[in-house]
Amino acid sequence: MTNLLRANFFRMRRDHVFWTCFGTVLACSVVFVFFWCREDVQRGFQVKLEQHYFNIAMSLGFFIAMFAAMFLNAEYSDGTIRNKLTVGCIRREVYLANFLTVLTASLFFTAAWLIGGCVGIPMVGPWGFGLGGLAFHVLIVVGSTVAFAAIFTFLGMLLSRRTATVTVVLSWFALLLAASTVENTLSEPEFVGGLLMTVDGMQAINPEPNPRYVSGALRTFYEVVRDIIPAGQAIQVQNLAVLSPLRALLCDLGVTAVFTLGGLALFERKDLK
Amino acid sequence: MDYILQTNNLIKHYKNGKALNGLTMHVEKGAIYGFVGRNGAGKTTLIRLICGLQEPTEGTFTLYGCPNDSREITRSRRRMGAVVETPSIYLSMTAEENLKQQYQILGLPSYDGLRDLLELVRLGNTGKKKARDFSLGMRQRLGIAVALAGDPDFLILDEPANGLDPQGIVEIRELILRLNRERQITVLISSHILDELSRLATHYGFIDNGRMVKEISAPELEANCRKCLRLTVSDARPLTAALDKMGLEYSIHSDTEADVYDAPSVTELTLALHNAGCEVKNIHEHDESLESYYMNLVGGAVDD
Repeated sequence: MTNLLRANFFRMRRDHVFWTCFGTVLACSVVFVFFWCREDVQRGFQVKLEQHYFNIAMSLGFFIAMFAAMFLNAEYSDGTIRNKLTVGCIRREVYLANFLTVLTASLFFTAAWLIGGCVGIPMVGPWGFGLGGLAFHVLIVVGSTVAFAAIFTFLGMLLSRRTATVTVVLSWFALLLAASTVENTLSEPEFVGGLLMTVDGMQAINPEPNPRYVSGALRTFYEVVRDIIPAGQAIQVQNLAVLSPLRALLCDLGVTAVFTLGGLALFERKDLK
Repeated sequence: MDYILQTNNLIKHYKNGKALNGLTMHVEKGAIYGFVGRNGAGKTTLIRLICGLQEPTEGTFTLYGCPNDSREITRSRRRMGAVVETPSIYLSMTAEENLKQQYQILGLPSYDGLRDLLELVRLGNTGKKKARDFSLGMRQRLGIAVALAGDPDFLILDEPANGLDPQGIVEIRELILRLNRERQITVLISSHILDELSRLATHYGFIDNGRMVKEISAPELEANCRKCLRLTVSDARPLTAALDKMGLEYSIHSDTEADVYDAPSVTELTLALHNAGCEVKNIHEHDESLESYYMNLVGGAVDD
């Protein structure tokens, strides 16, 4: 597998999609964090770096999907996967090497984002929750990155048609949509109240239970679903509200294992052309 | 006989039917094996099975004597190279980068021989030109170079002349002949272009509907297709005596039928037979090309 990995990294270094994604993540991180921090400083707001630093976490998945789709699909569209199998490479190793390549690229994108975001330090100072808090959040992001890489490798390796690239990228949107829906449901307040405008002025209304609020076992279920979807974890990191870090990491491990083992089994039987 | 590849009753099912239906074939070491069949006959399916891109539904094959269901088959595949359907090359890379990529996949310790390989396929001067800007012939040659990267002694080429211009076809033909003669590489070529194949092949396998119709060596085929006079006579014995007396080459098919080679004068021949007491009932010129031989074998029009 070392040979396959070496060959993949050789190609990755020359791959325009990789450098475009890497550059875009770095540029977005630098530009957005810089402007957000500058705006807060100009308005005299006291903000911590982490309030803007993790805003890009959610979009990392898009770049991973983009890279995985283009990099893996090139093997089918150019037919080069045949060069590996014809000379006796084992399918399992081909799959794992591709997964590790996508994962490496994903970690490069994560690093680009982390480095780029440091542009805010001179303006608002370092992270308010210290290096420990930073490491904790970064760990969750890395966990979700691994899970994203496993999902997109699974799709990229098993879909060999020309539409595969679009399908993989759309799958990121689907994951994001699903995570947002779950997040919205969990964000419903337990009670709803408010102010009523009357002729005598504003009048407070007694809070009432919110019928949309999810509680009990169903709430736990939704929380687990949010942790299972890597995009859900990215949303939690963006909101600086990671509820259960251990569960999130275990979910990442589970998702990675299921998609990688499933992908290996299916790729082993896949008829290639 | 030393065979590189032997298949035994290979069957491959797809959702829409059988692509291979009990195919048995034998590729001798050192041969250029022409694999002939109409579209959908199963040529590419067989090549996919040999290359490990697909698994047979039933049946077996051996590569260098190693069965396909053995773990050692991957080691046997190290000794082969293939260009299946279209050349398998990264279009965004140069010729040199494509070869470097394959060298790394093979785990070769250095890029020694890479320049020679590029020169062999006449792509030594392509520089930084990306493969996507190559002509079809150049891509085909690069695909062959990639297949040759591991220094194989068995090369599989699926329709190598497809879509090439006449010059490209000649270049590929010369390359294949050079590889076979200078490097002793056994070659399996599937092709529709029978005339082109007849300039290369030392052995033929004719496939139809997923079955091997006939395997034949080039000399045998040549003998079958050789231009001759086919005679139907009253008795073959006086015929053989007369032909021996005339010093002509012939072959006897039955008591009344024979083929006479070396283009004798028909007048002289019939006079000689008359004098020998042999009545000539029928005489006609027999000249079968590879194409007509194939058509006679599979019994129908080629679906190109």
